[in-house]
Amino acid sequence: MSTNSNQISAKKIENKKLKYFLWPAILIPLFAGIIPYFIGIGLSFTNWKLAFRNIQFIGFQNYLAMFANADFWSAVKVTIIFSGLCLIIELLVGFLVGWLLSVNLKGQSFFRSIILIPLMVAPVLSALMWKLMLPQHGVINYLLSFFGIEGISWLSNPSTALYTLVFIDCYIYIPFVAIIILAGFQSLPKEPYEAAAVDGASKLFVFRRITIPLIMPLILLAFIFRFILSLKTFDIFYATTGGGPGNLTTNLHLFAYLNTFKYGQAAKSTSVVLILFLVIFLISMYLIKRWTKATEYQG
Amino acid sequence: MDAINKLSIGRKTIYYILLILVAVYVLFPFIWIFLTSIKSSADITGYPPKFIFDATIDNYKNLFATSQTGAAASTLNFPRYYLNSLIIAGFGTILSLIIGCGAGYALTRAEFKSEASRENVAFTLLSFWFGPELAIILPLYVIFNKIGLIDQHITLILVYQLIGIPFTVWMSRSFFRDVPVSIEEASRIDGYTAVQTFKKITFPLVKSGLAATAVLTFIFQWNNFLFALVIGGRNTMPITTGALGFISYEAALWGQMAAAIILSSIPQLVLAMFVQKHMVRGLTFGAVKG
Repeated sequence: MSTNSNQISAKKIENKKLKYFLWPAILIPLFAGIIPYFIGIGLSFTNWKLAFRNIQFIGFQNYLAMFANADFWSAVKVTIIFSGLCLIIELLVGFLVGWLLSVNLKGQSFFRSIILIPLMVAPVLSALMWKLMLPQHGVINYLLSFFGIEGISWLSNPSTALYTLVFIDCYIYIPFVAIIILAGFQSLPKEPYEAAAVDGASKLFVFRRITIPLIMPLILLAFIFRFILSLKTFDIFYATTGGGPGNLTTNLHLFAYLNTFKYGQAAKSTSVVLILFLVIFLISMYLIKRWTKATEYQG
Repeated sequence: MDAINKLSIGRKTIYYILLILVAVYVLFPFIWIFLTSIKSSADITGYPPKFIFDATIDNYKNLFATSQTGAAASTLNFPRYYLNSLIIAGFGTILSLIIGCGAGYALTRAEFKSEASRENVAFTLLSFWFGPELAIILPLYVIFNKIGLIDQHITLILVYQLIGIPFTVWMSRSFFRDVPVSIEEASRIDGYTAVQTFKKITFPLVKSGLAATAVLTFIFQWNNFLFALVIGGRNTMPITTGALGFISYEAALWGQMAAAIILSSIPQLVLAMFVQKHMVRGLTFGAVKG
């Protein structure tokens, strides 16, 4: 054997050894994640209830019952309204805040640290903080009274509960969008701007034709993250309204939880979360492909 | 100084006003909750809300008192919740870090059949993070219930790996990628073994990145709610699910809840200060190098 082929086979062995390190990271999620996930798919075709011992196969009945259930469609509606509003507001305001933080000013590092705070605290605790401040006689209504706004019980009023949850979600995640956008502004190249200045391009033109395209991959990234997370929001719903009043703030994830642990309908709930998973998975895979392409163009 | 960077005083003032508004918006809930936590219960429920009052540390004392007032309150056990969070997130982080960083390194350096298969492994791991937690935790609840593993620390630590491992793999991978292969190869030519190369060349370069990974893993696991809600119980309840108990049908311990929120947020805020530099990278799973 020549030294060359010896080197190659040594490299192969090393490569194999290196790949051993992958196994724990694959096996644990396999046992804790993928296998349960497939068991879940199986269970969604049964009449499994938390209280019952014997489980029978019932075909697609859970799925058919789900699509015929008005509460399910109400949860779909809540999920779409909540995620839609959160995405629009968080991306718009987050963009503005991110831009504001990128302006060259003294003391910016202070503001850039402050903005991280809501992201580090558990979402459920942030939600509880707002719950403590939002009752009828809470501090928020007191402050609003100075502006002539008569406060109501925001979280239990049917016409405001869902929008109040959107507000709480925005409190936590506007900073998330902001720091991603900030990173984008900080990494902008100088050359295109210098060229535009030489050409005497208008500010609006520079913003639309240079800044936005350069920051687009980061906007898309923030969108992907917020899209995935907002559709499966659970903590802040559970901690503040618990789905009420009625089922006006019950989104799909909470609907599945309540169905399981309040009514014991475990198999039906499993079919609900599986549908939700499928939707999130397909759309996010598409978005991630778009994102990968967008970053490739940039080189 | 070029013209672009020079702002008029009027503009600067507007920017500062806006920035201060943002800061107030972010900080106000924390300030208010802190004030609530040092109020007596009469001051908390009174209207209009008081900004000036006699401070008390009773709420904090009560959190740590063994026997609490009220029948419902006696089931609340804040020190226990806190300890549980430390145990679960602490051991969870160590496990995620060991497993995830090894895999992250292998994913960066090992040769795969194709780039596509490398990415497939990486994305399969990431997909745990896409899924609604209930899709995984409900079947696990059945299994763990059958074999009596509900409400055990080890169960929660294991399940928390679904948050930890994908994150540590992606984060460590993004740091290992920054280390040029050529440095490692040069070291090998100099006669170092693979292990020595890792110890002497690669590790020092990624050290601070991995430390940030550890801190953020800890924070994410500490903050988890739904896994703990389903498969945690009296013995293992961490602070995120435990905090809910302060306001229920039986009890409305606003002051204690405020104190609990403040105490449970401090570790994250302190830890986060050390990893600010890597924050954007961490929050985007390594996609943005801040």
